Amino acid sequence: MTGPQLSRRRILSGAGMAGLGLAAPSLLSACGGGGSGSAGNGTGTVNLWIDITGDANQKYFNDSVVGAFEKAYPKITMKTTYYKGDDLRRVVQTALQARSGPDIVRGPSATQTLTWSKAHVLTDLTPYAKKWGWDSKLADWALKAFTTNGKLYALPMRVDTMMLYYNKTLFEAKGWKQPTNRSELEALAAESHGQGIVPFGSSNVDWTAAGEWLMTVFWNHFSGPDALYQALTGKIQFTDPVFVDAVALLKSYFDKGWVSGGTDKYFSVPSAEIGANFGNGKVATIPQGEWFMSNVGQYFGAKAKAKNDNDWDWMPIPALRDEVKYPLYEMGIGGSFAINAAGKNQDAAANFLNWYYGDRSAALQRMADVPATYNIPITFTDSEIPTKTDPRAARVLTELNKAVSSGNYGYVTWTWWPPKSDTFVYQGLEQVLTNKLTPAAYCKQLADTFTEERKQGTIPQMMPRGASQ
Amino acid sequence: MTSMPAQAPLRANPARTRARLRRGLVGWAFLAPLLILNVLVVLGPSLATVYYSFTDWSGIGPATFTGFANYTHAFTDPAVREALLHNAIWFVLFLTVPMVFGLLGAHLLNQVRRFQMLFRALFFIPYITASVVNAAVWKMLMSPDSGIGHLLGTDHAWLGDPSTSLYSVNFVVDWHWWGFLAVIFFAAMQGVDAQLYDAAKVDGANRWQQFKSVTLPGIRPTMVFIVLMTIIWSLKAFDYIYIMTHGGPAHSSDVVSTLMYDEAFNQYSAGYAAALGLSMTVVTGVVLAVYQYLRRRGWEE
Amino acid sequence: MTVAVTARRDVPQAGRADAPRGGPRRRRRLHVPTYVVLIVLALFAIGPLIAMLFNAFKNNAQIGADPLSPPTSLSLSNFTTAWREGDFATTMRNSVILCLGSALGTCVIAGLAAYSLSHLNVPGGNGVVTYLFLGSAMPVQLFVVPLFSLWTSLHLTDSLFGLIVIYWATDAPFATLLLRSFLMKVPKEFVEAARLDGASDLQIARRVMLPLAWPGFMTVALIVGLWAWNEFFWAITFIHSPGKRPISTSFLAFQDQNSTDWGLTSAAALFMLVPVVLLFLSLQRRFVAGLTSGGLK
Repeated sequence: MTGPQLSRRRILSGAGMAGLGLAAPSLLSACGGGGSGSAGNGTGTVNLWIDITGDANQKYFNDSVVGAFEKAYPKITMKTTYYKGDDLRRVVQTALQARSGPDIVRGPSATQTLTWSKAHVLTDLTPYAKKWGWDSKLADWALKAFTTNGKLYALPMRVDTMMLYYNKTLFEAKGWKQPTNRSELEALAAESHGQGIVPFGSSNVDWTAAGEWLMTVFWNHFSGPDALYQALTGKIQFTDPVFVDAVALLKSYFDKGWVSGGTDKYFSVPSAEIGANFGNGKVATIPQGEWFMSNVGQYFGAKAKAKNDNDWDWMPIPALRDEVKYPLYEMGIGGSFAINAAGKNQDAAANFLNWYYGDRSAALQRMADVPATYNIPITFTDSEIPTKTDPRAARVLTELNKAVSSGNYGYVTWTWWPPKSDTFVYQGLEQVLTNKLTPAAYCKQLADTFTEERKQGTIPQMMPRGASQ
Repeated sequence: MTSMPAQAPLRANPARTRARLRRGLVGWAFLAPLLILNVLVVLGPSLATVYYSFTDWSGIGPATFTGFANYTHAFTDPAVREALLHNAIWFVLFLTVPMVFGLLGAHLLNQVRRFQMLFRALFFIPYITASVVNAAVWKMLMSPDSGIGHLLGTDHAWLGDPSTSLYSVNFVVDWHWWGFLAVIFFAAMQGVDAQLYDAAKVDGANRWQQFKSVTLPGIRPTMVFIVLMTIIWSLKAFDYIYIMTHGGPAHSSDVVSTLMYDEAFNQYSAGYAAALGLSMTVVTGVVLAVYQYLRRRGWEE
Repeated sequence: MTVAVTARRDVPQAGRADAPRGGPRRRRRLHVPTYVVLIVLALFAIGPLIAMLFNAFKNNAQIGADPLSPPTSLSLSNFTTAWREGDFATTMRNSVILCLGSALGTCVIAGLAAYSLSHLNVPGGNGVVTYLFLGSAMPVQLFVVPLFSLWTSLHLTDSLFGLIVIYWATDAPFATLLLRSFLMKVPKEFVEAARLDGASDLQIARRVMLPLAWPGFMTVALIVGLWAWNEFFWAITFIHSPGKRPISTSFLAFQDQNSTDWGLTSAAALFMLVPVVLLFLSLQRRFVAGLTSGGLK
């Protein structure tokens, strides 16, 4: 489906490598690509706490990840404990502080893992990375995001981007076309709102940080990635009108009742209920991350609990300002895997990570089996994507590939913003939506927090601008 | 008091003194398990947080001593002020609403003969139901799309509107609590001497006057204890708010304990959170002391 | 004593000090409105839980169409699914262990302390009482992190026993205060008489106090057991293995996964609710008697 030019490209890895002038696979990669057990030296039990929810998803992780690993490394036993996201973060942090907890630490997001690294509770992974040549297997920009002072402290768990999911059946029935710019999007929103259909479904009930997904969309597709890059590198301030206006635009969508039918519902209707309404056509679109792909299916189709005949698809988020490119994909890392410095079984834990990131065919198979959840930033070409992959999930991979090579990518808040600023992005947004803060005051506070944290150096290495060759 | 003169000569008896000493030691020995556990689980860790409250500790890693910075910050922090206001609102509502319903239920139960046990059991059930279950049920009933409001023709999002979120959660807490009070008050009312009512009737007191001058004084010790516990529990209010709104939206249902939780686990300000928690304990202590003082000053008379 | 008993005999339908009752005529007049209000109050109390009971028998479509009406058929599929998916067999067993362990231990710890505070004239006893009141005002979220460090070094994390010890410590102050006022009602003469017979304090506590204060201990055991059954904050933090999780965390996780399926969630909620309701209904007379004749009166 793509030309030879594209299929040769290494997904998700090009920009960073070329941008930083680093050579691709070196000598190290030769000894790293081996099969199972070649470098295995750990034994015993490895504890892992992770926030995979849903019986089917947990079963898949047990069978196809943990089970497959244990088969390859018979001397190592994995002990997996499942939590829900909010609990996981609190429990892991409490345990880390007490110098205990799981051997493999599933960190919440890049910036927050940085806080843990600075507290010296995570093992330096650099020796393992050197030993097994992880830099040749993983996208350079993603590794850089987890490197401070030359030390690699975690591995990127999932490549994140934002997209606009839509009820395909509804769009066809109404004769709606995919909007590509702001005026088309707003015309569509007004029309569907007029017909009693919620234009955009969103909720922060189950995940309080959901507000930052929206801010990520508006800052990337309204303010634009160039402005964000300048702000994140300290060249301009977040008080710049280009950011304030983006917040005001989002607020205006809420005020028009376009988002979930109103601010109060955004704050109180569980996301599963919005998903159900999305499935039966009462919600037209949902702006969400690629991870939503592993859930969205349950709201559609006759055989699922949903009991409807509808289908879904996704489109790139429209450009909200003429100066911003389309399609544009904000990029970042959702979650991380690290090794607990207090763990007694660090080598075995490292064996797991090496297997998880190093076995390309198994990794690709996981991406094909479960949409989005297992999208680790490893290097592969388009043609390597297994054919049985859901075309909608495959399209995410090829589109991101294209975005990276053409430089049309932006920045998600939960990877590139320092920890306190990141928390403020979604907590402050609640205040904007409830009229306690003006968009300008919100951006002012963000700028202050950001400047402070930048001074302290709690900021990850940026993914640079510019297309790769 | 009257026995004092009789006891006085015995004090000189050395055997008696030894016995008293021995009993004091035995007394402390009997208290030991409780106190040791308390030091281990509550007091010890709390003292550690006293130290953290004077630092900029993020919740993980090393901490730098910052003196009283956290405490001075707490005084000027608008979020703390808002949370304290919510605590005060919570306190007033939690003290009055369940009390009124509880007294009404108990009083009515006291008037009837049949089905007392049944009503008592029904009133009591919400109290013994887990907070996680009660919260889940009420979240469903308050849902704008499928709850009671939907049936009544409104789609108001009670928990999502900042002007109603605090009151909605408080309503649920009051709902689960009043039945417990009704049962307690009912049992206390049964202990009130029936002759007092007869005497009041002879004096021509109407039902309201009987309630005011016989029933209420009769159950005063129970009320005093309940008020005491209510003070403690309102300042500690946490679980229902945490489950139902997380203190949101935009801090509109935050009380100090949920704010503290947010600071400790979301904002990386565990030192500040410790300062908030300790300040709150001191506030509780002061409120309790004032209450006891008022009571001793004859409020009870 | 005798006077009081004779006086009570004069009251119609005596027995206990049973009520400020008027004459039969008056009662009949008040009957109907009183019952109406009582029924309204009862419906208010359990209406929401009845709605949940109904929903447990319905599927999602039926709930969506009419969330509050009774079910049309008694389908048990929600119960079987919820039982299996929530792994309630395991978590219920764990919760029973937690309840029994924390109730028994708290009774012993608080019983000893209460006996000491009520009958042994401990020097500084009043200070201890004040401390217990203040101690129960400490927000628990405050010391979770240091406590976790301590528990880790004692190897008490991820252990039901470790959690039970925490429940002992957090529940014992309230239990002690309750039992203390209960034991204060035991006449000193009983204790003195036993002492003259040569009984040690431990023997007095066991042979004199325990039988006399039995309802108080029952009440404490029930309350502490109930708290352990319903508690979730400590449990989520300190228990990690799925095989050791108690029922509240099981319900929370289950609810999180099935937040749109009210039928399933309701069935799961009933698994949490029904055992305590049955227990309390069967013991309610003694429970309430203990609570009122003890600390709250």
